[in-house]
Amino acid sequence: MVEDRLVEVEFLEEDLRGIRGGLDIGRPEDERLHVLLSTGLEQLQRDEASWEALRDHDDSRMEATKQELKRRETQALLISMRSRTLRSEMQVYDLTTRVQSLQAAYAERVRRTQAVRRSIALLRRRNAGLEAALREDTPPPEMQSASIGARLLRFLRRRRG
Amino acid sequence: MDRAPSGFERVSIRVRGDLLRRFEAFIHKMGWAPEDAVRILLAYPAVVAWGAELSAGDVRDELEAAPAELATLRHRAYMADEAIRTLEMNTAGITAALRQFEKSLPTLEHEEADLRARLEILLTDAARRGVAVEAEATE
Repeated sequence: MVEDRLVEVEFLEEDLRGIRGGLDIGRPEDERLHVLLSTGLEQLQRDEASWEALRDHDDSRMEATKQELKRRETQALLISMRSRTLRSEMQVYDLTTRVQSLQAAYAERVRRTQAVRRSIALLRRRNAGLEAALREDTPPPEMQSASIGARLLRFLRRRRG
Repeated sequence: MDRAPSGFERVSIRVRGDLLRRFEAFIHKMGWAPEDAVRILLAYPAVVAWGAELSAGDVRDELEAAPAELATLRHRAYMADEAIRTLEMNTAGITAALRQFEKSLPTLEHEEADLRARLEILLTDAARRGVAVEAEATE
């Protein structure tokens, strides 16, 4: 069984200032928040019960009470939604910046890969050409053991073009 | 863990004991996410206290303005959540593609380096043997 549950939430600073106004400053923060949460839960459950009891009553004397209950619910929701919404929008901004950075890195990798592939193709062609030229220049095996005279004759013929 | 951005403050609360039991029953009944529930419940006492300072007219004014603001915030939150989903998918996709490049690019660069080294050997051999060499083609 879970003994406790850690929940982290963010508030707009201005909203949290108003919320902290109700805390007993003599206690540690964790304890204060625990008491505040308990108080909020009791109050909200009490208000929910009051709302259920009044909802179907068409008594104008109860109208002010109903409006106040509605106000409480709406204002608490607004505080929560303001924080949640703005936080999500900031997350969109951060993620957009991250995606742009990744896209730039991706484009650079594509460019680099294409450049390397082009270079490889050129080098292969060049190497193949050189190898072919060197092979043509290489005498057949039977000539490689020819006499000095035969080799000199071949050299002179090549020089004359 | 990352800090809260500017304009925000993060609070941590350890819900325990009987409160944990009541809290979990409550959020289950309301269908709220724990973080939303904690924000609402922490804010509720202050909202109740502020009500003591409001006139009936003030309450009516707040009630008139609040639904529109709430609807706008909910719409913005929905649009932001949709954008976050898309952006997270984009991030995952591009990151995976970059990881592929991290594997393939070094192999290609290694092959290029080998071919350049081979070219140097061939050029040296051709020069030594007086073999005519074609001018290097430009890209």
